[in-house]
Amino acid sequence: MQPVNDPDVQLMLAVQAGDSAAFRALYRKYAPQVVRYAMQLIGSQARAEEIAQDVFLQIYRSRHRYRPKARLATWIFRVATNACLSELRRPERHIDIQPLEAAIADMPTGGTRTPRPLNDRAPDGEAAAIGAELRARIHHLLHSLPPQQRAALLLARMEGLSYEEVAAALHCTVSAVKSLIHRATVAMRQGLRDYLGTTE
Amino acid sequence: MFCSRARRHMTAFADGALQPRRAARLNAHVRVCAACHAELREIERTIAMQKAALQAPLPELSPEFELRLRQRLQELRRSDAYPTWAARIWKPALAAGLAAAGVLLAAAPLGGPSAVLVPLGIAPPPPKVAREPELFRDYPIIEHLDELENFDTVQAIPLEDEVLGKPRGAG
Repeated sequence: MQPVNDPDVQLMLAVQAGDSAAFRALYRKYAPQVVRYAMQLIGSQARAEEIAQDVFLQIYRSRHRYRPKARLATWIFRVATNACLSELRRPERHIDIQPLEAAIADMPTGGTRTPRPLNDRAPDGEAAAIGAELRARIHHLLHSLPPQQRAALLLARMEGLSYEEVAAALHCTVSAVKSLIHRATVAMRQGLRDYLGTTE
Repeated sequence: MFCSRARRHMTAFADGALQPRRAARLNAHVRVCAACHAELREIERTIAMQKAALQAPLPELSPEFELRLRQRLQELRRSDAYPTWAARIWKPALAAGLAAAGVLLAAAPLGGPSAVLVPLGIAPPPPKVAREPELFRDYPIIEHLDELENFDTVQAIPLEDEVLGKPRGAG
């Protein structure tokens, strides 16, 4: 989509012109997405809400510098990513970091039961149980990834951004995004062996 | 295409983000390489799981969120409209201070103000003040000499208990 055809870009241009209703419409549309993204990236809902507020204040402050070069969502996620990565760089947060190997060893497996591969047919209740368990495991693995990989994966898988848009949001090249998402996916695959039904 | 190269691009291929020529080469490779074919299937299933697990519903934001954001926006607009006195003067004041310091420091090697007085922005007394101390009166560093001369007045201020109407030493 060309930036000029993006209705959100039009909203942002209205914000630039001093339309406060346009700004309200923007944050009502994007604030929940930014909170969800920040929550997954930093792992704290309360802090995610504070970061989302900072993001919209930053957007308001920078409104005169905004140029419609890309979809507005890309710009918003770029501001949000910067805020989250700054938060993750704060020294007091470093105690939460867990290496991937430790995360895999410490993963929720639902007791002693061996998870069944997804391609096995299972009764509905069992499938739902596997779904919750699998979701927990994926979130656990996600939080053991390095922040840049986590951000790239979330933008692509959760927010549905293209590789080009992820690159714009992370301020890096498309090749770097390919590498970040590939490494994150390979690392996660390692932790999902039980569910993939493969051995290596 | 070699297996190692094919594997490096598999996630982008599965996401449909590979350039068409490279995608065609990788596609041709996985048709003939069973190991890479199996690897690609795993990557595709991992991506499907990621998408399923990460498609969380949007959170419901509390009314306090919007209220707090509005408050912070109002504060921001107020500070934009009426910059504080300090905010308005700090840049000119800093520039003037730096300029003055620069001039004084440049003058120091040429017999200008001493290193002690330069940071204070005070010129040293002329040599004749040292010879004729009575001229100190007129020297600006002792601006409040008149008040200092009335030091007796300061000593005559009554003690606190006398102000409160208690005789001194009454405990």
